[in-house]
Amino acid sequence: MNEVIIRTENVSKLYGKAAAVCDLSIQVRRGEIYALVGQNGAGKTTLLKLVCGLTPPTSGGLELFGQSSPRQLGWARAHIGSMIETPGFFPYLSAEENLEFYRIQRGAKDGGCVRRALKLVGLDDTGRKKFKSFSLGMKQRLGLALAVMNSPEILVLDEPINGLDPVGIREFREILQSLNREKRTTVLISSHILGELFQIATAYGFISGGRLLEHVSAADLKERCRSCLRIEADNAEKAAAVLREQCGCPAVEVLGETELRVDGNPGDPERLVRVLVENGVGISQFYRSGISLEQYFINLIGGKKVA
Amino acid sequence: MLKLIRADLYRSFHRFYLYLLAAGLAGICLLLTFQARGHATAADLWRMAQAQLFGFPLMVIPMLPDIVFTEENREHTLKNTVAFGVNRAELYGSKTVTSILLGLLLAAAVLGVFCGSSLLLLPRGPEFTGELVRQFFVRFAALCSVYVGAVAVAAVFTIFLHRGALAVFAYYAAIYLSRYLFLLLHIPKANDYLLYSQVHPIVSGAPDAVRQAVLISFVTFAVFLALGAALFRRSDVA
Repeated sequence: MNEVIIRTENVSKLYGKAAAVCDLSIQVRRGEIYALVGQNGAGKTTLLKLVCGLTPPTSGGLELFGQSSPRQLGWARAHIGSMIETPGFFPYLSAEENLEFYRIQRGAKDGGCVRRALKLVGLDDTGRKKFKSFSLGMKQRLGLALAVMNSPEILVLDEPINGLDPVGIREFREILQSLNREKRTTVLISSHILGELFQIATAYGFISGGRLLEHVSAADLKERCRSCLRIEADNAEKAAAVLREQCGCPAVEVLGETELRVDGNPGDPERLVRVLVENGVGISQFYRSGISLEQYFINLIGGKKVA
Repeated sequence: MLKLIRADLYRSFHRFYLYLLAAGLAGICLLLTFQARGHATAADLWRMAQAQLFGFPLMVIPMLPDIVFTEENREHTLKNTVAFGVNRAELYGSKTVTSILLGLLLAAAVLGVFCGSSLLLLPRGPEFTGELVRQFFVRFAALCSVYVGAVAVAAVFTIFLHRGALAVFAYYAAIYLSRYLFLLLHIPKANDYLLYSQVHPIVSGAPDAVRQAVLISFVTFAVFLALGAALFRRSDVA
């Protein structure tokens, strides 16, 4: 779990004078599901393109599996499966023919890998149907099939669940989790569907304006977004004192004259209410609350609107 | 590189456009033969083709990189290959070679239809000798060097301009209009080194002129292949 297999060192990509990615350094460890979270234009896709070699960096370094020379990076990329932006395939070929093209191109001897990849994503029954007749969801599935066809050690996925229906999203999540669990496939993924990322990611990189704002593990993020009790009382200070002294709640934070927050595990909520009322504290609201990944991200970027 | 070429041929043979192009060109050959019936012999037709039609394939050449390159740009499929770590120079080279192979296959099909139909439908005539046949095929083979050079030129425009129609227009300008540009710039000598200028010496020149024209064509091929590979190496793949 400790081996870093993707590392960018102060990597930058300029388009003219505009920086799509600026001095960005990330480290992805083997076996992680690393989620890139950012607004539109934050630099997520550019970063993924840099990793996949689709665009050369203006400055900075990239290391894959500990290799950094152009020749070694080429070797390393043969162990990466990717789906960047919309899946691109030949419209006049069927799903199987499209994958067969890439199987020949990659020199894969095992002809069965095409059928297995199609079966994995549920496209094994599309027959001679051409790619141009596929729905958006089917195109996304075929993109995933290509990404996993060569049993890669790393999957780089850019907005992979766009266009998938709820069942498709669940299947997609299960595929990723099973690849990660059974084959230790490392996943670098970006998505706008933050709730979905929250369910699968083991580490997060928050990006804004081409810069990394924060790197955080899933456990840390869950801790930061953890639920708490929010109480609105007629006298917050008095309520806090009662909770600390009589209920043994150390993590009580007074948020205002009438508002307070109780973190950690304060015990049975009914008992807390009863004790507060018995001590003459008037309660107008008492509820459990936490923040979502989306709210956490919005707070992180200073409340700017998420596109 | 062989597997890249094999994959591109696999894809191209699944494309209806390739067969349409072959059928269209073969149809033109058949039409020529039918038109010649009654007033020309096979020898007349072969000589006329050698003198006037051998330059015609230069107009069709941009369709070859279009099948191999432009489509990949349009359908955003190149990223699947590049992201797999394929060396870009190797990829560019393989695509150029595939374009050339497709051109040779088309040429063989079209030449087969032309020769076959003219021999079947027209009287051969007393001038249809072994020397005429030899000259026809030797000069066509030599002219293939010009076609190969033209494929490399067309491929560069395809990579540089991305858009198929614009690339074709730029190719026609480079092949057919650049001689006027050199005349305007008062460097008419440069015209001797243009690809289009190599057609005439090959179809009707002496062996020395043919050799020089073939050499110029191969140098053009090498220069444009290197230029295209260098451009492709630094370009963004969408």
